Amino acid sequence: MVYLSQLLNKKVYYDRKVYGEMVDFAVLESSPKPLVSRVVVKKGNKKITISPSFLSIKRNGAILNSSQAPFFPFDERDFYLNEDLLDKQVIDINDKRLVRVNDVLLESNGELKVVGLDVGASGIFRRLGLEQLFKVKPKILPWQMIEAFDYQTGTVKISLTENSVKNMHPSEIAEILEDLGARERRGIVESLEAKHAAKAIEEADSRTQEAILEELPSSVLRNIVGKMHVADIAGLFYKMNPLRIREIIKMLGEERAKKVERLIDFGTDKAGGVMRTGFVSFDGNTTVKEAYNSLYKDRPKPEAVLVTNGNEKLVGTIYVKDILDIDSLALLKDIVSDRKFVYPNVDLNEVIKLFAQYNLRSLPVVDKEKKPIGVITTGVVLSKVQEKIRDNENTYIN
Amino acid sequence: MKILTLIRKRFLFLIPVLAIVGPGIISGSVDNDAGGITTYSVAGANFGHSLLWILFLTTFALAITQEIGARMGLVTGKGLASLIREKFGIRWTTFVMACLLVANLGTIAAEFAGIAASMEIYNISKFISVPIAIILIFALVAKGSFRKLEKLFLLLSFFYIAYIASAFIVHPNWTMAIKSLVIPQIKLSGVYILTMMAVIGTTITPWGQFFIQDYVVDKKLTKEDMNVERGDVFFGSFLTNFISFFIIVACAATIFTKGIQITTAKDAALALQPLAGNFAEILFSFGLLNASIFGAALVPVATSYVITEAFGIESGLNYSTRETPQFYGLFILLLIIGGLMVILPFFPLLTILVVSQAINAVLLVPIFVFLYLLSNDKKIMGEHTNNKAVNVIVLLTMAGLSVASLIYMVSLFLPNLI
Repeated sequence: MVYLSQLLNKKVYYDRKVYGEMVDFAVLESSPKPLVSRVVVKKGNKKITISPSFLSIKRNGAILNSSQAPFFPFDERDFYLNEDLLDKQVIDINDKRLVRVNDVLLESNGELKVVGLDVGASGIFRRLGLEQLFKVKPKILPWQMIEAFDYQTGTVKISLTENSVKNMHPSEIAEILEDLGARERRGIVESLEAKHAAKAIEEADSRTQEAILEELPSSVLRNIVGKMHVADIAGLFYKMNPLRIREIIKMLGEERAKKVERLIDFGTDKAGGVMRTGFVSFDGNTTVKEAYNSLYKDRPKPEAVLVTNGNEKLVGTIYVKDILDIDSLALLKDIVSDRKFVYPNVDLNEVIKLFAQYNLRSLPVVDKEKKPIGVITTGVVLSKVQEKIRDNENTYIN
Repeated sequence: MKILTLIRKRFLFLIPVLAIVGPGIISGSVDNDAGGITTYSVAGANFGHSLLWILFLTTFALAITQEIGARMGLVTGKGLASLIREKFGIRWTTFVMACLLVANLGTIAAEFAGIAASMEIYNISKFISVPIAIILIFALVAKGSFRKLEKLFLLLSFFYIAYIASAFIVHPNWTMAIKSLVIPQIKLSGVYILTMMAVIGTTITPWGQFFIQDYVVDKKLTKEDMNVERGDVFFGSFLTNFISFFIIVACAATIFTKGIQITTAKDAALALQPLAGNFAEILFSFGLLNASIFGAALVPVATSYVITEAFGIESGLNYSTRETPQFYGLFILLLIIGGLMVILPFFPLLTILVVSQAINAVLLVPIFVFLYLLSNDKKIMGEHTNNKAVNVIVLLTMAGLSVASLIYMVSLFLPNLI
């Protein structure tokens, strides 16, 4: 991640000599994030544009890789980040003036892409060179929320509510929520349907989850936590304000509250702490056809089902895709796909290792009597892996 | 029948005129605030007619710069702060806002000094009057009743007519006064130069420049209104200086001729004696109080509005205190700092009133540079950039201001040279 202000007016070097200065960036409208298509370099009094693929852009300057890079003349009709976007007014769909584009946040892994607009005080301090003096958390408005850009008046139109956010995938919304300030976040969460909001919150990182659950008014909160997985709520138990989490657990009703409490005992770095308590299980003597008919009504379809013997003890897991081409009269106990399981107190790292080693899609968690109590899915494992990577990065940076 | 259509034709044009008349006249009237009345009184009382030529010149400068502001608002639909931010970026914006903040804090202090001075006539201490005024003004603005009272304040500012009446009653030397308008006289004394700067700075103000443009934008006027708006601005500028002329003449005739140096607001009230006799003090204090409270509410609001606009914070009187805490926070901060500058007993009220106006004049120079550059920018103004005559007047104004500021600085820091 890099800010526009950190790149503007930085030198471009070629062959260890100063070649020019980066003064602007033209972008192409591409979904979901606009891509920087040209870098405007001021060379003497002339402005030329270079494709970013010939430049390696760093925070303290850029290096021109090739003398063969094709140059294009500066075209005023293009859309430029510095000239057309920076410092402009942001208004909402009702033309109410909101904030200004204080800086532009770019993603730079190979390509430069616009991620969002910095509309907070942090952007101002950064551009004044006072960021060390006043440490303020940046307030980012994600590009996905920008509805239109008015080339005539140079104003940016955003929609904080309505249309766009509602139609997004929960994981996209989660990404937006992670970037936003408290006020915008609340606005978005409250504008969504409870189920959609719950999904989006579950997809967000735990810091964001915690902040959202902390700041929502209880009427909205009740509906949302009602739709959330108990495992996710349990996962937040030790991170949140204890008074608030008690309040939330109360909202869940007796049965679900008990489930949460049971999960909390395991801790979030144990198999029992990350498992989902909702799963589908069949007796081993069920035929494929019967299972098929029963699953027919289920929505959403589980990826895997558990098979138990007469004493409700685990036999193994069957992936639903595996029963598609099997004789419909076969018994489930004969066609189990995988027999692995873990106990709830198994360390999370072990679980991840199992998933990687045996290419698992789903792993049952059983109690002492080998009765299944939950299931760990690949989704959960991946998000835990991602969290670990992020933690590592953070420790590395710090 | 013919006559009827004629009448209808005659008066139809009045309908758009009535709807639009406002920004220029309001901006002009507000110019005659606490600093204005006091500065003009001091100018007339201490220097007779010898500063009238400055007033004459500033009339043109005021009309032209206000017209530019209104035109920029009409064409772009944006305030001056927005245009500076979008064209020149954050660093210049911060610089201009710092200038504006200093100038406006001075003006706010002057308004509170006006409140304190008008109440001192009744022996009410500034330690009581100023805090009460701060609370009253904040309540008025935050509760939203200020907008309703705006017109009342404006109506009450017709009290200035008293000066015109007073001036006519004493039969001053009109030919002398008119001559002084066009014949420059310069006295090389520190006080004269200070008063000269104050006359300029109270007539043309940095905040007035931002105010006129924001007001036009807020009213959602468009290019079609340009001619009417131009008339409104010119008339407003003329009106404010027309009144200033009579304040100076009245004070010159009643106080200067008697050789009295005014040092407090009480002395300034003498100018109204020919009209109001023993009620002169009451009339004067009432007028000063009205103008001061109006200014003390309006200038902090305008300042907060412009600063939040420049830095991109949701703002405006249409929002509640909870929705835009920064806007109201800045507003109350300005009130308190302005009030404290008056309460803390470092300076006499009259000094605050006059010096703050002179500071305004000095800080006009950088703001006019941006005004000049923006109003000549084809990308922003399209076909409505300044014509040559306007540019000449703006450049002459800037040159005049720069020279005057330079002389003022010399008189401040190297008084022996003069």
